[in-house]
Amino acid sequence: MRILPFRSNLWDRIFIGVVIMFAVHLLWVRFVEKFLPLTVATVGTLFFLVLLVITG
Amino acid sequence: MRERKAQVWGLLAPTLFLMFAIGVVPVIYILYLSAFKYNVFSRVGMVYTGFNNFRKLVFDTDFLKSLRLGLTFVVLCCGIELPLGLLIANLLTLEFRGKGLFRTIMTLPLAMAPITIGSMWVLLMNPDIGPIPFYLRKLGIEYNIGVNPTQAFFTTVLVDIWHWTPFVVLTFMAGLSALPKQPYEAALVDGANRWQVFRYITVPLLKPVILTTLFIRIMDTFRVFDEVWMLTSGGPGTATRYVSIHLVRLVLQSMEYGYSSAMSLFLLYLTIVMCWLLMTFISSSQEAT
Repeated sequence: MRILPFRSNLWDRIFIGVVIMFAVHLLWVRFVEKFLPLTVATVGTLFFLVLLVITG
Repeated sequence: MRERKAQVWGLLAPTLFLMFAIGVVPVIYILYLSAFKYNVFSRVGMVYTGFNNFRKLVFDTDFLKSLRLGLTFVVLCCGIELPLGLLIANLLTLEFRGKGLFRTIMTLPLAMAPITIGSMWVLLMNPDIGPIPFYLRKLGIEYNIGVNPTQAFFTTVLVDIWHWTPFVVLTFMAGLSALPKQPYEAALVDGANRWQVFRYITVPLLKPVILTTLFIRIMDTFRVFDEVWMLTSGGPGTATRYVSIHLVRLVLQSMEYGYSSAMSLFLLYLTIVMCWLLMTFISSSQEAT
């Protein structure tokens, strides 16, 4: 099962993954960090990045 | 074959080296600096702070305000320059007396450096000696970009439009001259009027050019600096303090290189994301045509 709704190569997936990772970290720091530490976001987005690179 | 490959890489090597040295290395250095608290005049030196600079960034109301202001500037400039450019480019497809002269005069702002344009408009807008405030005063309008924030903001928009609309016109003219003749001839046979031809033939065929021009203009407008720095230096107050002006002021005043690096990295991130989205649009529209 694919995550992205279009065909992509490895570099596209890494790029999109890093872009999402950075955005999630910034939003996390702004709105969620009061309740949950940033490490949760890092682990979550890293897991997502690996999943994105594998499945596309 | 191997010799040919070596030759190709040998010819590409100087360019690749330069691109790496002046493009990639500074970004890596900024990425590195963004994780530190670093003031060049501080005795402490570089102190590792991890994600703290970005933490500070998302709560920095001044930065967020300048970002909002910058995005408003981008929307206004691109929203006016593109339709205006398209209109002028279309008018220039017609034959009229003095067309060549008009085209030459129109492209003059493009040949000027942004800093020169800034200083020229400073003189034009000077409340004491400038002709524009002088004539507006005769009409009963007090025009002073050093005092009135709204006037200052719209003056920077006006200057950007004046400077960059010719560029939009030129790219659209190039796009228009490359369009195929057959759809126009078919529309003429079918009895389509000028507006219908423009709406249903010119605009769809010109879509890749429009998107590419928008792409270039968004990037340029987002990092506008010289003209605004010369005109208002970000003032009055923070009325024209766009992101690049805010960044330079921060670096010059507080010398906080770590925080400024985080800020520039964030701006680079925003620009890359916007460009990527537009590139996706451009390639999908090219696939469709």
